[in-house]
Amino acid sequence: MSQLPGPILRIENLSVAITPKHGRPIEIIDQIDLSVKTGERLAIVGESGSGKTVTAMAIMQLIDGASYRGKIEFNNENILMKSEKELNEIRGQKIAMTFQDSLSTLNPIMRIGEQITEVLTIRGIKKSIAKSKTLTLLAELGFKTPVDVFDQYPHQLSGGMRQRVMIAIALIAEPQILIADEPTTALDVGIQAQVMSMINLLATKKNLTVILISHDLGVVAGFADIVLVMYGGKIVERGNADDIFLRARHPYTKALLNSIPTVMRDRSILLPTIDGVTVDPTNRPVGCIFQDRCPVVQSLCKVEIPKEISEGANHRYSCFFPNLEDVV
Amino acid sequence: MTSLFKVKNLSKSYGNGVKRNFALKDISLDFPINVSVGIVGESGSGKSTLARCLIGLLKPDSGSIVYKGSDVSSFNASDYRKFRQDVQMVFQDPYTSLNPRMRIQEIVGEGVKVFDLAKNKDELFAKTASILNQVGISEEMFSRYPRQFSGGQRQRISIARALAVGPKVLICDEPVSSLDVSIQAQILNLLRGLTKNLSLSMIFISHDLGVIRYVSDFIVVMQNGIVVETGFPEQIFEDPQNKYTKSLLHAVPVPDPRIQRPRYLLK
Repeated sequence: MSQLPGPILRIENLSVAITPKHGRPIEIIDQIDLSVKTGERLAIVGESGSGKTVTAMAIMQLIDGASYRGKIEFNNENILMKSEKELNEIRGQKIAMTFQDSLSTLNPIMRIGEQITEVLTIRGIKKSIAKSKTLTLLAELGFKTPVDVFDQYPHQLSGGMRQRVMIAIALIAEPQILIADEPTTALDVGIQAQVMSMINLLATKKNLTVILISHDLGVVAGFADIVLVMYGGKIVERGNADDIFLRARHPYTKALLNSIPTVMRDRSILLPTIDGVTVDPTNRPVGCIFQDRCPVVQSLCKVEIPKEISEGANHRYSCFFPNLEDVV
Repeated sequence: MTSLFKVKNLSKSYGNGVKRNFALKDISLDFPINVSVGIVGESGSGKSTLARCLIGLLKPDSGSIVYKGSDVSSFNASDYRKFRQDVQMVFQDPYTSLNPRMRIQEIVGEGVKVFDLAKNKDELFAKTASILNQVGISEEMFSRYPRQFSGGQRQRISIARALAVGPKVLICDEPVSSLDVSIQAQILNLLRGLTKNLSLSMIFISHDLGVIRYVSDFIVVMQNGIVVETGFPEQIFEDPQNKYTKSLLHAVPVPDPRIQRPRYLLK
């Protein structure tokens, strides 16, 4: 594995806007920056509408009619400047993505093997080589009878198996970055643990950089090195997994963590909620993005945007009145 | 003490011949009155099938369901009408379980009309309004359509629809599984408050053990169509007896890297 100087992926000041047919452009990602090193696992968390999937889609430049500002550097090259043809050399080959719903993403009338080998044969690799590579990868992904699975159709597989097929499609071309969008959402907890362990093992073995998008904070806690918390198209807090889960500073992060009914929780204590609804991208407030739902909001938050504050090497958050209580 | 539901030797299968698949295999259970019973299990465990049999949406192959002392299969038309008023359901998907062409006050008011619970239009509106207010939907939203609401709000409307006819039992089938955690917490708190204030019995189905622990007074663990363990939350969570219950508990992701990280390491 070649050791690259600096991060494999660096996003600088990225804003993404979509323009509806009638109307003004709507900013859905607002000046975010992040960087990932080779082999690192980054997780993006947040509620629906926070911009986590959009961030992933922006890296792949897969959002219809979107306009991008800022920089997305992959191996020190700004891929926002690349042509569609150059991008197709990157998409699926160097940066691969698995999408949320495995049943609707796989082609129902195409055999599993064909859907995986296609990624290679389309680039002119011989069918026989593509097949043997696929069988090896399916075995690595824990399929006991790869030869049988190769000839099956998606409906013949369980949800967990389909999810692993999706991962096979993503990994067959040996990408440098895997973006996994909610890879375990519809799965039972047992299967979920199996899929996450599998991604973990393969990522280590192949020194793969993984960007995990998930609303399940338990899954993220077990997998991520670095966690970004997004709200309303902005990164409100970031840090090592321990920073986020044990030393959450932003009231939004804290509220998200507190609202999970964990199995250890004392049920006599009422579950804290986050009141209100997520911010409307067409009507962003002046000042802090989280002000309307924040339990500790002050008048300052309504006039000024909080700057990012650093605490330790990787931990940063944007809040004037951070939570300073740690989890013991 | 009479129980709410007494289920005896209940079986239900789908398909026939070699493809016949038993979703419920000879289940016997007792649901006490004024208690929230949580049913937990993975997909295919039969938990939704059980709920649908209880409410009468599915006809079991064999076995009996006794509601407050009388067998459901012996009900005549008027008994059955009363039963359907007593037992209400909240479904999993708030996007498909509300009629997109009806205003939410019509959706909530429909049951009130069907069961003749209002003398006139004013009373109908008053009833509907009070229920919608109870679930946190304010008056200026009453004439909107379901598509104008978020997932959490829709689930509130589903709950209001169920409550509007004055039920004794609320059966909730994965009511929060499509919601974000922050919204999930709101709905769970709402259900906990409502069951307490209205002395409702609740049967709550979920695959999420954390959610089950939070809402249930009593827990039923199902796997492959059978009940593998029942008990009070402390028993199930602190001292599970069944192997499957233990494995299920161990697989629940915990939002603490110190606990969760080692679990994703394959040997």
